[in-house]
Amino acid sequence: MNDLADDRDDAAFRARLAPLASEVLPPPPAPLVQRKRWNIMVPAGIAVAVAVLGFAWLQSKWPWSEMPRAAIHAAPPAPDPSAEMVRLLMQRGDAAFAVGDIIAARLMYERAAGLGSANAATAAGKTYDMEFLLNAGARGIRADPAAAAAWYRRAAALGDPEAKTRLAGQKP
Amino acid sequence: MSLAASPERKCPIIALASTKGGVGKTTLAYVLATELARRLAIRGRGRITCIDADPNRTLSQVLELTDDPLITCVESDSDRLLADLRQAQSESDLVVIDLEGTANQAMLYAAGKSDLVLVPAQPSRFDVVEAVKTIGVVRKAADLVGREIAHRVVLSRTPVLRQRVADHSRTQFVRAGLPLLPVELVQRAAFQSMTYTGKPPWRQDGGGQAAANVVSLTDAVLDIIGLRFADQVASGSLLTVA
Repeated sequence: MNDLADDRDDAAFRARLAPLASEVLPPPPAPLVQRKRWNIMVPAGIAVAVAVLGFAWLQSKWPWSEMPRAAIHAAPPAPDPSAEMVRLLMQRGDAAFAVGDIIAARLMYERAAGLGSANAATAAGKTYDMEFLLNAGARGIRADPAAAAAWYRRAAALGDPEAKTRLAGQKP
Repeated sequence: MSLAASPERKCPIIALASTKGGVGKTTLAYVLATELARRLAIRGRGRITCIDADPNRTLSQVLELTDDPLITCVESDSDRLLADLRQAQSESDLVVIDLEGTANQAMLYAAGKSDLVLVPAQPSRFDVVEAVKTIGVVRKAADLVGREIAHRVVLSRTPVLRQRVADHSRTQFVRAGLPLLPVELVQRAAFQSMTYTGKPPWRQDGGGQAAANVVSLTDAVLDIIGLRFADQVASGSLLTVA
């Protein structure tokens, strides 16, 4: 009927309840535009400053490409949580090997090699290596030249020099 | 007595409010609306308007299933609530507002406009805490709009059998200074099945416990706002209607 009067009534009603709203309700978010500007401008400024200072620093270090790699990647190597596991596996593998349990030793070595140990890969290769098994006096174990070569290759790839010589010895 | 005969005579507004969700606001709103509609149907005329200000629109969904010709459901939000209320008041005998289970603008407006605010609460500690909060908001709203706003905590989903935790919760509500509605909404399967079937308890089983619960609950609510629909029908005998 009288829309204007109704609107005025509503506005008055809202205004009366306004103090309660500020008390009970969570605060309204700040205006989006303003927040947006700050959110973008501050990190952008920081990023530009870092880029400029970083470039200047690199220039001062020139010729940085001739610096040793270790100096560029100065972060200390992260302690390897699997190193301890490798050590334990190798220990148990050697113990098993010492009492002639080649199969058990092979299991340990292979698992240690799976954690990235070059020594373990070589040791695993030896448990398949006919020549090594004969020298070690192991009996009743079937050698597998292909498996031995595979493990040696892997150890060589991981940088183990013994594996390289053994791999060379296998070929003929 | 006609309640909405002249535009000056504004019809009563009942709001279901709670800062906590899942306490039974929609359930209570639905059983009240359908029970009042049943009484209006006996009288032969009248109209209930439900304003669903809960963005989940649960009340609208179940009322759509029910499809009661005497109940109009309006979906609203805090921006439209005042206009919707004015419209509803001018053409209904009673307005029921269902709110979202959180402290929000719509709750303040609804409380500020209502004649009675019902705060459903289950017998649990969290519900006591939230009911205290909700009633606090209603009381402050009453101060700000400069009039009394009746308010009651309605215990909901209370166990049929006596349980110590329910008794303890009742004590806690009284200790916190919250006025309790003398009738509780008891835990009944009919109150759950109606959300699927859209059949209020009196349509499912007119003589059943759930229907009786709703009748006495509605009587208690109407007592507070000083209203009685279908006076000629006593609480006991109207259960035979179906």
